[in-house]
Amino acid sequence: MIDVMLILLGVAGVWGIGMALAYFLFHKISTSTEKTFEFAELLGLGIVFGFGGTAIFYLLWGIIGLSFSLFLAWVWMGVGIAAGAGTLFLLSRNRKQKDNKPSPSSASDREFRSLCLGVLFFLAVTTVIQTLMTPQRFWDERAIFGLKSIVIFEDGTILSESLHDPDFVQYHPKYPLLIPLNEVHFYLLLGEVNDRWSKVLFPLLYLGMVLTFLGVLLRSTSQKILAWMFALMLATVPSMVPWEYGFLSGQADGPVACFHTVALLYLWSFLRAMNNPISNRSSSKNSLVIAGLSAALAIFTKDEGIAFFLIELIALGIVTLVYFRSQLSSMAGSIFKFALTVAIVVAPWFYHRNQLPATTEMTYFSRMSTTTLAGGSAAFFWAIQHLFHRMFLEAWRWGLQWWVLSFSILAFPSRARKPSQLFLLLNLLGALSALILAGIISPTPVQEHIGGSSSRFLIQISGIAVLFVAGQWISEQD
Amino acid sequence: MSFPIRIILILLSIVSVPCFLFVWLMPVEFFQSWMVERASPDRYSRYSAYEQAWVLWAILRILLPAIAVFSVLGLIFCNRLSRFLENCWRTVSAWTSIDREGKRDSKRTILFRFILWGWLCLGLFHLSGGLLRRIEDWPWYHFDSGPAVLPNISESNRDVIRFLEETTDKNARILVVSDQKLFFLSYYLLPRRLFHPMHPGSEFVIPQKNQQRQLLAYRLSDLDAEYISRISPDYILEYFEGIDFIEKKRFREDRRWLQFLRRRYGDDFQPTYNVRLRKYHPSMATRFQAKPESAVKP
Repeated sequence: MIDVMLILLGVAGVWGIGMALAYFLFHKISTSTEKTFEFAELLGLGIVFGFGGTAIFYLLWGIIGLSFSLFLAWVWMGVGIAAGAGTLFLLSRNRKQKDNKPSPSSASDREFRSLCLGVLFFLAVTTVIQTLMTPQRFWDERAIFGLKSIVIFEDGTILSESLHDPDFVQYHPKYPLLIPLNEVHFYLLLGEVNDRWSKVLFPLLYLGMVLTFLGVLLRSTSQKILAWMFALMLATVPSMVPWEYGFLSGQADGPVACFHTVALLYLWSFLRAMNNPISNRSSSKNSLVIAGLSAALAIFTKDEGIAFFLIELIALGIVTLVYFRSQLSSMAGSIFKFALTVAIVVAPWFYHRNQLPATTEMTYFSRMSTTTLAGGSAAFFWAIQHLFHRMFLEAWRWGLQWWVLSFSILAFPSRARKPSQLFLLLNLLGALSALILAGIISPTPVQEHIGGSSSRFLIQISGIAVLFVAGQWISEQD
Repeated sequence: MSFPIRIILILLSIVSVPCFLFVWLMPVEFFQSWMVERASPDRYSRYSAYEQAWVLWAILRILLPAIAVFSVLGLIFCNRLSRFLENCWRTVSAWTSIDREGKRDSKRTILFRFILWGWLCLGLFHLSGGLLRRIEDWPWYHFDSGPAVLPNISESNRDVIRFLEETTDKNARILVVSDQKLFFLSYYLLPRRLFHPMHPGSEFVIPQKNQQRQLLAYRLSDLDAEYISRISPDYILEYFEGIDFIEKKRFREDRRWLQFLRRRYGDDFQPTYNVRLRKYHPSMATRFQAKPESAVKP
């Protein structure tokens, strides 16, 4: 029972820190009377930034050579709870002060929204319970992340001698530390290692992703009911939940899906605003910082995050050249702002990463040569066929998102050419190309490399597919 | 809409109220013996059925009263409930109707509704599938943490972990030579630190169950004294299961390992793979001078 209380308090602290950070970001641009964020968005980003902020805090604390202790975890938790309570107080005070007109929705719309809220609550609770019903038991969650979190907890530092010994770490010693450091926070609060309780962060990131998605859609459209429907669609992608390698496990694919989806959600929101002359441009600029923070957290979770970030930059560049040539300097500034945010947040991690040993790293960039690529045609065709099979012919198992995405393009081909939608499509194509390229150049046979990981990789981009679908069906006047 | 809802609620009440009373009145042993009788005769299936009966009983004890209360309350407030559902239905109908230039676009409307219904059905299917999977998993995981269960590893890995827990100091440094990837040993044996020099030929090889894929590995004789001194182990463990590495004559070389296995599996038990654990002292370093042609610094 004490464990449950500590975990609940720990979660409240993490959530509070994140909400305070998100509120600070929103508040900077909320001088106008226009509504700049939704409550669901604040709650969702609270979770996303809460876990991200906790890991970054522990990383910086560790880099400067200070040790992790029970006291530190309690202080962080206390500060988080106070910051969260303060944020909620400020929020309620500001809402009272502002002239909040009642929303023009009908009674039946409100009843439907309460039904959706009930379903979302049910899904969140069952996901948390299902996650906590199993300890960490898969390869990656123990070999890559869990092992490091226990060592850091026991040694009280990320500078542990063991983590610098390749014969101890063995598997991906250079892998990012967002998951291990959050697990360490819970181990410190509990005073012991319990690899079941530490899994609580995964279903919460699922909830954070869904709430942020809902909030941004609610803010972006007047079609509130459709926003709720698409948020519920995101919450029920089977490969995310309840597939056991999704958000129910301690693998990194769920968290990467969360951070990557949130990053693209804000870039999508930014591009929609850029394409809409009457929208609030100042709030859209803020989207870039939030997108940058989230993209940085994806990099700090798993190395795929680096590829996703590069793809985002390329896609932004293409969209700028195609649609915003007249605003080239302004768009270049925006892209720079996004990239700079990412660079600032991940810089400490890359500084630390340079000191870690390298074994079992696939070193994709150095493997990229014309000979490797030329010799990979068989792997290329195998990968294409395999991905098609997994995305479309096994839809009953992984979800309908790829079918629905295809139907949505066919239903509204002109909407798919809008900057925000094209940007998402470019990201999806880029991610799939990167996976295939990785399969061709990796030292492991493609059948094992992509065959064994494609379903997990597709989790990471399924949120983008649902966002694209939402963008297609939400009508043009928005 | 009120009439069909009333009928559904009456049927729900007729089913859920007696079932809820039945589940609450009957002891869990009744359900357990019922499930065990229907399970396969092997030990694992019977254990699994016994445990699954418990978790099903617990879930039904919560779920059935909830359904009963909901259906009875639904009958009492039937008009309000049907009005609520009608409103929700009307909202979904209105918002999923696609209009183009002021006219209803029936093709897109049908497609959109088809997508939503398909998604909902698949979601419900997977939600129930997830619940069933958790019930299936329950006998093996309960609410225990990983070190208590040692999940998803081979029985031999479990034995080696328990053996090392029993025979080595808590903060020991253990140098391991093995033809397996030993993350799980390392994970569950912390704070002991396991150092396992990985053969470069195995770096990117994904192991398969039951040693179906033989990994390249270093033997103890491949390591030089300098390397061993650098690791400075308290113990050295040799652990081989693959056909290329096992030495049948040495199965019973480590007496403590043999005793451990026989305590677990009976006095006649014969090991089928090599596990040799020895305490290491720096003065032993000279014993590990490998032949010049085979010495390796991993």
